[in-house]
Amino acid sequence: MKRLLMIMICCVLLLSACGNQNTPTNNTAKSDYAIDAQESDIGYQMSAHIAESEDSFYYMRDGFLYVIDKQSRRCMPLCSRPDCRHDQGGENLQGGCDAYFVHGEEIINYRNELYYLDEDNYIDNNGQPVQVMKFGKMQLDGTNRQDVFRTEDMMLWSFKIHRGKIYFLASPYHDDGSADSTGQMLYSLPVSGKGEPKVLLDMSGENRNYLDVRFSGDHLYLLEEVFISEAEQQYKLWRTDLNTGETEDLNEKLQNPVTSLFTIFNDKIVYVKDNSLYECSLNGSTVRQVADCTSYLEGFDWYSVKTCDGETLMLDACNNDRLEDRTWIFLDKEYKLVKTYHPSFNTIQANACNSEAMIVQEAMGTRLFYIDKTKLGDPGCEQVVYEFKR
Amino acid sequence: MKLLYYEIKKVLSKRIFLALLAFCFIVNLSVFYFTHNDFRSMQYRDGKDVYEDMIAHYADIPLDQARNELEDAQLAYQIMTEMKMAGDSTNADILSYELEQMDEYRRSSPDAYAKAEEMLNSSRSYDTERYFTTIILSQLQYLEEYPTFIAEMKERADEQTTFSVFSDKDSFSYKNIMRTAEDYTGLENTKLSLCNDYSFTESLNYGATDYFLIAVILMLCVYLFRFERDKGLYSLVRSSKRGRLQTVAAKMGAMMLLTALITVLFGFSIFAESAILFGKWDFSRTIQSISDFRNCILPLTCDSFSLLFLFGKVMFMLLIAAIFAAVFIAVSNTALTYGLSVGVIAGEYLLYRTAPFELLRYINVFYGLDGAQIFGKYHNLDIFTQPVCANTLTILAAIIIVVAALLLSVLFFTLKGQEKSVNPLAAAWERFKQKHGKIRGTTRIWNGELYKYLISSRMAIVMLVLLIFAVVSSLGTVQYRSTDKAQNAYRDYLAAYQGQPPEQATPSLAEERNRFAQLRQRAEEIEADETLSQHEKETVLRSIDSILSSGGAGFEMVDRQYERLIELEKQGINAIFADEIICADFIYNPHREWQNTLLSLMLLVLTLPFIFTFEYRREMIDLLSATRGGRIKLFRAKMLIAFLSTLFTFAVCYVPFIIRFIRSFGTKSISAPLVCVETYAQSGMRISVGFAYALELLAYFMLMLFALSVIVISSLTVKNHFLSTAASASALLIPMLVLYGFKGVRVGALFTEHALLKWSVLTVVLILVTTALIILSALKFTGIKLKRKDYKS
Repeated sequence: MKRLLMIMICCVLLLSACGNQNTPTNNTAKSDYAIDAQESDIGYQMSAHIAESEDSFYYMRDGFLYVIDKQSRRCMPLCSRPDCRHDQGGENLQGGCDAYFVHGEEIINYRNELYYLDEDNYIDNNGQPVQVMKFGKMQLDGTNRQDVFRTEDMMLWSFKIHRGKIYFLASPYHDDGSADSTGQMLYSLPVSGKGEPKVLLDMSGENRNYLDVRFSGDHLYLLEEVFISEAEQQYKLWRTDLNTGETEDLNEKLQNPVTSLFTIFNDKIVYVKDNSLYECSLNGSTVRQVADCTSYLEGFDWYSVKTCDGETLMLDACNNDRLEDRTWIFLDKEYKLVKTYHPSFNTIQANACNSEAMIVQEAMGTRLFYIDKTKLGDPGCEQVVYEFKR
Repeated sequence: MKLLYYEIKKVLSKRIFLALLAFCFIVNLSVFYFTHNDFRSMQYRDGKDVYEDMIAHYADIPLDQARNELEDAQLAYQIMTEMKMAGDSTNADILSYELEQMDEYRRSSPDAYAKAEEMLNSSRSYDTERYFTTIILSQLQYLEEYPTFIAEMKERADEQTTFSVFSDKDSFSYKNIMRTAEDYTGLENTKLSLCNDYSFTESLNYGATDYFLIAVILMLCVYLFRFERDKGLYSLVRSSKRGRLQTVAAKMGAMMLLTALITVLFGFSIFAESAILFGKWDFSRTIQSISDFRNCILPLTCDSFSLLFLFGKVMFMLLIAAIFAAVFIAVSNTALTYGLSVGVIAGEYLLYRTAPFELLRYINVFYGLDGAQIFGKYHNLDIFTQPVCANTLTILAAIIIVVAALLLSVLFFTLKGQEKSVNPLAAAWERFKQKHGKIRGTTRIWNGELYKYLISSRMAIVMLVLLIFAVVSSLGTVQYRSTDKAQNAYRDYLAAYQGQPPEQATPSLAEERNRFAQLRQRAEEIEADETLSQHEKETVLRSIDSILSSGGAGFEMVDRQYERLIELEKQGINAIFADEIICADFIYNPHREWQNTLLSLMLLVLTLPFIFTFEYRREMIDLLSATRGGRIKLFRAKMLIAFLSTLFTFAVCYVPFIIRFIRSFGTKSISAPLVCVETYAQSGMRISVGFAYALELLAYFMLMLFALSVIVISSLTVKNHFLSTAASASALLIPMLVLYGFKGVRVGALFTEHALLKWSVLTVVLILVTTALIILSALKFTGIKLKRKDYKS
């Protein structure tokens, strides 16, 4: 009997060592593009519409998750049922489709599991509808959905996962039940979903709006817009130490503060200010003007940083009122012009996924494009991979 | 065989059972009728002849021709509508545009134009034909799409497996794709045709029948497994010639047979009613002719599918019956028997709706009972990466559970004593009291009745639990969750203005109005400013727009309310600001009302039957004759206890919300006149919001008194606690469950228009019916024979 007991105890100990693949890794100060960048997941305002795995891209839109096969460059809803009409099936059939999510807007691949933001609803004892927001995860083929974290106390807007933790923006409900869509808070939570969320940045208050977020090593960078009056706004570039929680506004240090989208490229914060490209060190101690953006491509009203793939930096050149003029500028690590590209369709934002491809949705349109970055300018570099019904 | 016959005869000779069966049958048919009063159902009901004629016509011609004819007809209806609009138009521009359109139609579609003219000149309405033209067109579209949907199944599956995520041959996804494509083979040559799909699908999707059937099965179990135990006849049954096995086999056989027959009867009755209401359907059509059955892989005609559907219903009802039987035989305690039976069903329902794992949702009684799901849909479950058809698995599981429950029932019946058990602790306590206690009794009827209700029936414990429940429910607050900026801003304004008359708020409102006007003006100036770049303009305008779309829009709601309050003051009403969002919800919240009513009725059904059945349960009925002032005094005492218990239940169910609400929002808003809330502007009642809610509560209390009278009369009729509870539950709770989806059937909904009249009619009807039932109960009680019927024999 004692032997049996010993064997059982050993088994339990051994098995417990096998579990918990998502144990947080220790944060290190060193920046690592492969871990930190997540440019594939980053869109405007922290939203994560696109995720990438070894052989696929994932695109979340209007409640449906699509998969784009890298090799064949074809796209379909992530549903393993050939008898399902997916997003073509109308409201009644959506619930039966494996690719359907109630709140389908965000998708992140973390350690070969897809994490998503979703919601459930129920009616409380006062007869009021209660929205239960949740983070869930599933396998790369869309099977085995599991809830990771559920909350009724706050409205979750968007999230990122970085080195074992989920970072999310949320608005806690006030006592009267209202939640602000501006003035949100940045929380962190272990990726296992266990434990209480910790507040990293309190941006509560009217007319406060976050714009962009990036990670580097053990630091998080968040750009916030604060409307002081109807004609004046202030920008803050928060740098938060993920180990200690210490936060500082880098913009206070910078002579030319960051006021528009930025990225971390070549271990530097890179941004555009008054049509000039700047880079500054990750702690904001040094800043230098790299170039005048018009020197790369003339004739545009304004320029902004879009994204980077570790090797090249991508800028956006735009004209007021003319969406169709939008052109992309690609620079190498020395900020030398590699290429410019004018897409044949209207774009609002580009999601750079890796050095080879971009997945971009047509602005005000229904087409999803796969853009081969290695063949930019060639006739076949743009490929429509999916046409949405709506 | 003889025993089986006697068991069936025993059940069918019970008038109460037959009355309940008839009640459930009639109410089920009535509910089907009344739940099909929406616009769509009325179109089918009133236009069934037109629809059937159209179906008959278009079903006999080729699809292309049918589509062309219907599209032409649709165009003619469109032209006719535009002709009417042109005729009614007083606007010169619109008239000119419509006339141009007419010319265009005349040139491009002369036949449709001529038909439109003809219809316009005709005195009859073409709305029904027009409605069904659209319906049949969508049916035709499905019929055209289906062959491609099936033909391309393999192709889609092959394409899916070329995606890397689905290409792993060992994964569930890959196997599921291949298995699905395989299972659809053989449907390529399915012949589809038009048919009256509404009538057919409505009868399949109607779910209330299941609740009524569950109530009947519960009653069936009472008579088959409880009756003899309550009467102490099991000692006779156990000494039958060939032992207990034959007896239990006969009982189980009777239960299965009657369950199957009743299920088929109810199922057929709904098919028949649907056919009468919405028209008959062609049984020879393939089931795939109906778009709801696109994912059905069974090559069946509608008649075969109907039989299969009934077979499924019977099987899952047998499953429920088998589980109930096992519980009734295994458990001798009344409350525990009910609790377990209802608990199993409620647990299954909760799992069906909320279980995190697919397996628990699909291997579930309610999946089996859920309309046409079980045979009409196709779904595979992941069982160790193997795709297993959910329907097969569910049916297999059902068969296994039925067999297991039957075996367990037989085992329990043959091995376990079926006599009523006596709680050893209670017996010990009685002995202790007899030995050490002093007699402090009283002969007063009231005291005796109260003792029987609170102590002997253990209602004191129930009431204590309910009291704790009420106290806990009173904690917390009411939240109206919203991320709508305008709505939140409105509620922020009202937090300051509520309770104030409009003139008191005038200065600060004017200030706010001015602020937002300046902002709009500033936005216009920026828009016109040519010195600013588009980017700069956008940045500033975004900021202004953000303020206007939140605070500005919220203020507009307040401003509109202000205007309305000024108008009300002119009519002599003491108008004050009230938070319209919370006030409207305070009066009418369909879910809360339904939940509280269901809870209150459930508690009444659980607590009240003790009062009038107690003497039957404890063999004390003979003592009633010894009452000094006759039985009417006893009746009064019992009714007073029932009334007080109802009042207590009412308080437990309704007061906690009032406490939570007042704690959250105070009383300022609800002290405003009802007409100050826009939703109730036409209510025609000069009362406050709070008073309107009090009237609503009064109506609900009257409803509870009506429930009390139903429970009392059923207790006096069936003279058995178990049966009385089952009968009251069937009469009161099943209609409540069915009413969940009908949001208009609520007391709160009465207050929008002619509130006083509607409320008065409701309460007067309730008072009259309740009074009649109580008088009937009094007559029945005072006329009770001193001895039970079975004593005579």
